[in-house]
Amino acid sequence: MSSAAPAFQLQPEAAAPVVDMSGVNKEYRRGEQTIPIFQDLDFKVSQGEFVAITGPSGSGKTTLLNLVGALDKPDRGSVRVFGVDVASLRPAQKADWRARSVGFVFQLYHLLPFLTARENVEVPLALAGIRRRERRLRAMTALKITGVERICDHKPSQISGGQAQRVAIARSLAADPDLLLCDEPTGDLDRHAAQEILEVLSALRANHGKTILMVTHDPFAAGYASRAVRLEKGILMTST
Amino acid sequence: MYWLLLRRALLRRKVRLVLTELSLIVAFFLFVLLQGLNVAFQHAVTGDQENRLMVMNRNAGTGAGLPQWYRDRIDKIAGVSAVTPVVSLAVYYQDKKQHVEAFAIDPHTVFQLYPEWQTTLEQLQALQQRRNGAIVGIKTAQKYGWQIGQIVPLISERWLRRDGTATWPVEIVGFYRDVHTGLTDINVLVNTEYLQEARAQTNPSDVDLFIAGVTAGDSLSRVSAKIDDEFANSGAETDSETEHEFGMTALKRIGSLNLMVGYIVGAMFFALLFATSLTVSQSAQARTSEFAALQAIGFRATRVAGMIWGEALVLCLAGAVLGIIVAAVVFPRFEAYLGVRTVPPLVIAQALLIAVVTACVIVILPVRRLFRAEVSKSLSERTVL
Repeated sequence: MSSAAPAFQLQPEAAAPVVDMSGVNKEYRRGEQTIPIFQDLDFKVSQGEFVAITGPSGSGKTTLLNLVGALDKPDRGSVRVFGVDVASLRPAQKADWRARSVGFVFQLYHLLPFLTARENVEVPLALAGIRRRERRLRAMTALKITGVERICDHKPSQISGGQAQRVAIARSLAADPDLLLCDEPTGDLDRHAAQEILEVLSALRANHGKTILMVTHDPFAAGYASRAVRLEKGILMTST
Repeated sequence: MYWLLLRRALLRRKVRLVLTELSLIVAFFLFVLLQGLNVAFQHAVTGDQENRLMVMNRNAGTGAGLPQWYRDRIDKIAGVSAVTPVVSLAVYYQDKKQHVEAFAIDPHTVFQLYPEWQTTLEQLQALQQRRNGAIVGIKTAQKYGWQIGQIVPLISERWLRRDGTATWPVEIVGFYRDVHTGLTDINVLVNTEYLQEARAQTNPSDVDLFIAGVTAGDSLSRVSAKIDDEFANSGAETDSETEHEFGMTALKRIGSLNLMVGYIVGAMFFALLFATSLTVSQSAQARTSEFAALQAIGFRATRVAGMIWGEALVLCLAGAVLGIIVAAVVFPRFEAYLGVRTVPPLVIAQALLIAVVTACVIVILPVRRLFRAEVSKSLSERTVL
């Protein structure tokens, strides 16, 4: 039996990027004034990356995150996430897509104040039509991953900012999306709480293979990312 | 989960919720009560018999009556089977709040005219023979616990006796029951001769109206015209109406009042809806970032709008249901007058429909705002806890 090597070996195909922004233009209008945010922006994020987007206020960090999360749409260019041109989706399709594919973590947590931590985590699961028992189980698992299962019956007003952000991360994880979009997740927290949140995010990437795109103005937070991108006046300045 | 979201969202501001609910309960209570009475009254009028004519002075609206001697002339008109004079005594029993519907009538003809009023021959004869006798509708008798043989002092606010007193003692000689509609067995029927002979007023011959029976097969309108022709150009021209027309005329008078009450309730309703709308609108505005966050995690705007509408619907339906319950508790008090013990189902349906429509109207502004808002901008607003 011949053991000759094949004439050529297939090279493993490079994985398609999770986020692929190409030739993106975006501007805002304020009265008569037009404020350009991005001009021909190209940006890619690969599977399993933890990318920090840093930069001064007004540089377009949050706008970039909103474009990826289909909360905003570009004036020109394409934004593909998991191969889907999110800008071309209709509003209802965008909502459905967000529910399935991305988890959001906000600076101000945006937990529903009248629900407990567990119930907050259950909300996206209810949206996905998951039954009550399964919902509770998955919510508790998500809370355990973020280390706040003990405060599952507390309402947002009864817990600290750091705990609230962990609950918010648990909520973003509940529907098991592959991409987490974090907008200044440590912006409202002290250094210690911020460190805990960043460790949770790092663990999510390392242990659960989540792709994380985080906007931050804090170099300390950016230090936890596998890659940091600096935006200045809508232009990607550095990539480390 | 959605019910939990809705319930918790509603209960987050309990004082505001209670005040808003109270306003809605009052509005729906008044609506159900007034509309219920209106429907019940119309039902009562449509139960009237079409073989009796009510003969009144053409100027009855000014309080003018008819001379007693008209009776014989009406009686002689072809097609008239029987006639009774009717004079309201306007009396109360013991307390001014205990108004009693008492009428002086001819005991020889009134039960021919009202065959649906059933009594015994013995009791009828007792009324005919006893000058101060009275036959009482069974509901009134039961209400005051009156017994046969009992002397009941009725105090008139209209007629004085020749001795200067207003107390008219009547002896209960029998009871009657309205077997047709059950609405009119509340009257006290007094022998007309008792009133005619004992009253002190200067124009004692006047009666309020005559009730004339029309022979079976005769045309009501023809007999009615004949009666009015008989007294044309006299000092007291008559206006004869069928009992149904009479009821409808009364209904129109009450209808005008109802219209006025309707305007008042409508204005109050509008004010309450305005306040409720403001409450819902303010609540929704305070939760702009909350709604944006829900959209960011995958809720469609239509679903969030549905949640806002759901809250408004629960708020309005709860107000309507509680208002209906309160009205249903009060409604039996009017049974004696309208013969209806429960709120008509039509009115309940109307109240519930109004609640649904109200919920739709009061969410228009918040939902419009929701669809116009940019999620990314709304997310930057802090949630009001």
